[in-house]
Amino acid sequence: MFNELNWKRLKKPLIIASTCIVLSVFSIGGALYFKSEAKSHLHRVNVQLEQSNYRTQQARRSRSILAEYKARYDVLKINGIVGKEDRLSWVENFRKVAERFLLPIARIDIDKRQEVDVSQFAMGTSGISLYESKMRLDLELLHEADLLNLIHNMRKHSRGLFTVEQCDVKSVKEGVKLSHLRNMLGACMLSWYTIEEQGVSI
Amino acid sequence: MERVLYFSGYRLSAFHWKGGRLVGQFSFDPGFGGYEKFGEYLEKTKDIPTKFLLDIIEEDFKQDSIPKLRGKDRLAVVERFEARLFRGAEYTSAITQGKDSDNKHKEQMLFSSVMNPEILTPWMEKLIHFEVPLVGIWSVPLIVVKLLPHFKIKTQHSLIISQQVPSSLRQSFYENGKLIFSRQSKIKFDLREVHDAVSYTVLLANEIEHTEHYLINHRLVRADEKISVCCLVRDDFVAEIHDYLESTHVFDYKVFSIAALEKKFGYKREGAKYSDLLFSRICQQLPARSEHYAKPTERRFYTEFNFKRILYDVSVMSLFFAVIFTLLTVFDGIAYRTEANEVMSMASRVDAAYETEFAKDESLLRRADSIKYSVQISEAIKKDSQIEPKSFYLEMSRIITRPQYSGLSIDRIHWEKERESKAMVFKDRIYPEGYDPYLNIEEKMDEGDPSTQHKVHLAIVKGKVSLVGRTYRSTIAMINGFISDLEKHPQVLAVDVVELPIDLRPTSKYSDFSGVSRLVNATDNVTEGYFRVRVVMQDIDHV
Repeated sequence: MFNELNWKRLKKPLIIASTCIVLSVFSIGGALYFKSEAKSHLHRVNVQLEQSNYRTQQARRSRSILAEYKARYDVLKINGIVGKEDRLSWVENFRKVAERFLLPIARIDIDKRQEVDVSQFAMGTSGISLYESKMRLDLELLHEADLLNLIHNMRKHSRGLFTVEQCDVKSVKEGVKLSHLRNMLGACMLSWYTIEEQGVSI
Repeated sequence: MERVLYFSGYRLSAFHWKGGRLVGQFSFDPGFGGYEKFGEYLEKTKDIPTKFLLDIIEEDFKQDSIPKLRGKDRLAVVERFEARLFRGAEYTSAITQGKDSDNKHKEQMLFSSVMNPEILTPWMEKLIHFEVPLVGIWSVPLIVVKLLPHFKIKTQHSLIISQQVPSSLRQSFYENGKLIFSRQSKIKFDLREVHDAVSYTVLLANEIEHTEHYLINHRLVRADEKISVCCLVRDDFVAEIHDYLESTHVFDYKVFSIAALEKKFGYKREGAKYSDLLFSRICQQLPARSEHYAKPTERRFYTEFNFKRILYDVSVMSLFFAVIFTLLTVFDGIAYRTEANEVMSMASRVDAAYETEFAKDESLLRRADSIKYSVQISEAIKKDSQIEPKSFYLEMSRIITRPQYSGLSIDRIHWEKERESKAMVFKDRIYPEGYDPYLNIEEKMDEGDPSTQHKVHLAIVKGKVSLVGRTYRSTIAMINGFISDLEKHPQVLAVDVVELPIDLRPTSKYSDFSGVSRLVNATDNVTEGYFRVRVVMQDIDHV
């Protein structure tokens, strides 16, 4: 059938049809592109709106958190719990307390500060780092109460937060009741904690 | 618009149809410069699809059977039969008439041919010259069959009589609805001028009688077989001719109005005298594929016409579809844009409100979680720091200073803060020989979530008991009393004995010696014995 066709005579309708099809394709393609761009733009601005709403909600939530915690946080900063480690004040305080209780020998060894896993204290801990400095106290005691008083006074006068992890008190002179000890050796392991916010210079 | 060219063998009439309406009619007589006029006419109207309808004497019909075949094989057989039956014929046609009644493996065919194609040549040349889209060439006898359903013929044989032009009368003979032959008689009876039904009836009767002789002579019917004779006549003759033509034992006459039949084919007019327009109308309604004689070269302009039409249709449809689709899509896009603008303005309002309310405190707000966690952690550590050796030492001192334990003294207390679950693992355990609790106190275990477990005091208390002046029984009783008092203490969770000076528990090994020699030599001057107990105590807050 196509062999019988005179293609020269069909040139005009073929050109018209081709032109129409090309125009149609461009028109449809352009319209689809326009729609797709508009849809993407809508999606982007929706995301932007969601982000703006989320930011506002987060700010409200943060404000309520601050209302609850900021004052306590400021106290922590004043007490040296949040911020840089103040070893000098610890050592000075230890020396002061040891002299006050007339301890024959009082030795303090402070390990290097190490970051510890905060999850042992609280579940949500993002944005902060907890540091621990292990301190070993070796003491010669007149009475076991000296050790307890020393710890009590250190807690009272030192800047920072520490816990007593381990204590070993033993009698040097055997055969004497604990309540009447005069020559005792005491060793305690303390953990001194400081908290720092990540990426914030305080 | 469609055009049907009706050719009677001499004159050619052109009927222009638009739907069911006849919108133009032209007639061309070759004797008076008709070919030239036809050419001029075609030049002006060349783009109309045209059907050519033959109603000529020079048409021959032959029946034959061919093997049942399909496709190219069937076409080849048909062409061979056509070549054999009508040697050298230019226009031939083959129409199937169903199964051969004598041989079921064969197909009965009606072959036809235009015996004098020269009469068509000048007209066809004009059509080709002006590139008229020729749909096909049809034959009146072959399309008369379309009328049969309207005649409701009950006999096996039927004869259809029609007059299309003043100079001839067409008689087509059918057997069971299949064309057997068709003949055209030369007459001279112009129905436009004659108003006498009687003379026309006589003409018809004579022609029918001639045909009857022909049928009997050619053994197409027996002498006693009945034939339905259907006459197509002008409207005003119907009643009279019906009265004059009385049915006999051979002929059953039926007279039909041409106008009424035209109406059945969707064309209404009054005063129809000839059947040419009726057949033209029937031909106009026939599909292109049913044409009979046209050669591919004659139909090529119709193929081109169709191709052009398809291309234009495609152009229009594509543009139409594109415009509709584009508009709908653009409207969708505009709707998205509008919605996006609204959302943007909402976002801007939210941002502006944020700037007003929160921007100045932004850096502090960002630290809110860190501040909260810092406080929570410091409080957790503070709580943890409340577990101190002081409370344990005081409780231990209270017990040991009771008067009944004057023989007991404590040499060493190793204190640790430990999670309760870990500390309680040691309860009731049997300590192996040589077990050193100071070394093994950090024994590892699966601890679970550490933040949810509270801590307790865990201590190894080492003491000694004076054995001077004491029996085994009194020594054991004193130590057991001390342990019992520890266990009764409300804060104490567990007390485990690690070492006893005289360990007579079933779980321990024991050796001793006695006798006279022991008293004489008295080398074992042991005056005191050591014991070690492991104590788990909870803080006063948890009691």
